[in-house]
Amino acid sequence: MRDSTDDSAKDAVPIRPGARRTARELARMVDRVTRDLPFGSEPADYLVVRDRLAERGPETGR
Amino acid sequence: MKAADILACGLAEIAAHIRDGTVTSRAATEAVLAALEREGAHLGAVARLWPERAMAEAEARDRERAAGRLRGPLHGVPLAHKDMFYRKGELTECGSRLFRGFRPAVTATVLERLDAAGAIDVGRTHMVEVALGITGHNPWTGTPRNPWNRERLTGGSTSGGAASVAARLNFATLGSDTGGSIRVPAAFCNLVGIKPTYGRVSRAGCMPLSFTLDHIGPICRSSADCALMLRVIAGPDPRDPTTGAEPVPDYPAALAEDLRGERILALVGGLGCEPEPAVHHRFEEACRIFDELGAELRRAAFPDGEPLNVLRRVIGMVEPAALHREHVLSRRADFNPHTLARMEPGFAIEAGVYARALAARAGWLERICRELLEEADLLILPTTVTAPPPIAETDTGGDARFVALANRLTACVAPFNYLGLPAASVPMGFDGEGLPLGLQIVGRPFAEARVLRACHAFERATGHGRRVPPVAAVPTA
Repeated sequence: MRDSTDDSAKDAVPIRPGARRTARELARMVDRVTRDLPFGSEPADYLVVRDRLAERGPETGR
Repeated sequence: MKAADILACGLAEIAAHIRDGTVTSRAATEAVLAALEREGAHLGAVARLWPERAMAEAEARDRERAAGRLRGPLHGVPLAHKDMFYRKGELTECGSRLFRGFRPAVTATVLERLDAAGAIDVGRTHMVEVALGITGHNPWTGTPRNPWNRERLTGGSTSGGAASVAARLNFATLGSDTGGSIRVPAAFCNLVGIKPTYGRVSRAGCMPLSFTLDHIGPICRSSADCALMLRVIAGPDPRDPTTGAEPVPDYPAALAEDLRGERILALVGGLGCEPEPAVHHRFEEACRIFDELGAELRRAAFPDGEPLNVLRRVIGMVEPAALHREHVLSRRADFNPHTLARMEPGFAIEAGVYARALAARAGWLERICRELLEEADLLILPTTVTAPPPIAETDTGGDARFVALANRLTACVAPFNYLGLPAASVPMGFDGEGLPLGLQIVGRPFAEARVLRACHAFERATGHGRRVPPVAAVPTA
């Protein structure tokens, strides 16, 4: 992941043009697919949602 | 019992034999060690064995049994695992030059649980470099051969482990799954593999690749074996704070129920990758079988499945890149080109893009559960859209064709890493060339019992999993 505060050449990982192209394409796609999602959610919320949606029941899972 | 008869047993069966004294742990361990050494080498599946320690432990388990003490459900059962599960002081090389000579200071929780259940750790199997790869290629250790056809890929990254279980050299193995690394090798080797819910099984002491996407689970010859092994390794672990507090069900007991009234949604399309005709044909056959088993089957396309693969790819590139940044800077030549090709874009993806992919995860889980898993108990879809590809033709050194192949092989499995839903692969039959195909079964969070029950019913109805591959330590049926 690019660190915008660190421009020193010695610390930069060399990246081939194809990889940069892939990164740009993915960034465009992520913008598109997350446009309508509610923000303000934190990654930790995932565990809360997972536990809320958990299948519960007797031991067999029914 | 002869060695070939011992090796023909599944995990639950050999555990029962050792428990009731019809087979000693010593005999089982000798048989496994010999098979792994001989056929394991032939398949390029084995990284290293620990015969002296394994035999000493086997003899100790036999003495304990004679004294009336059984440690647990895997008492005296020898197992070899993927070369990324840490055991304190033992060599763990993760299919990588970077880990040469690495001896961890801790033991993985999953190994501690297997130890407590009485299992014997006999060695390690080969894997894709640092578990970043779905094909099975590894130029450093050699690419393991598929027991169904030695010229074909096993799938990865649990490549050697799957080959060893399929070839009847090993009763079961632990795998990791960041984008299909349990399910794809299981499918390509005609085995059952389950990636449990994110947090169902502890990752403490396992080589990390992506803390958001990594899952640990078993690969076995049957759902009953997976149920037994999962029961042993699952559950909360203070060493892994992502593990859920949900109680661990009695998975083996859950298999007894039938599928009458089970609501199953067959997913046809929507993941941006069309199945080959043989996969499509076998999938239609699978749908018919579930129908005959009394399930209520419906069909739907995966709603917006492709974005899930995009979001998973971002996380699956950035997190390995972050973990291996110093290695790439200082030891780039020690990575193979396949790994770099999958990891390198992760260095160029901006922080905001990664954060969005991560933050969207909870919302996507809610949406998929609401849109698909409220009116269905389980989802089914092919594990892969293709049969195991040839090793040589696909070894294109990490170029664009290789990346395209990897994306194609992960298209149906990787979304469930992003969502963290439990997903298993069960044998679905064979294509016209006799190559195995897999059916994937997916449930709500922590619905492993339901997933395994459906796998078990399907397995019993078809018998696909009972077939023995041409390369095996036991006679081919």
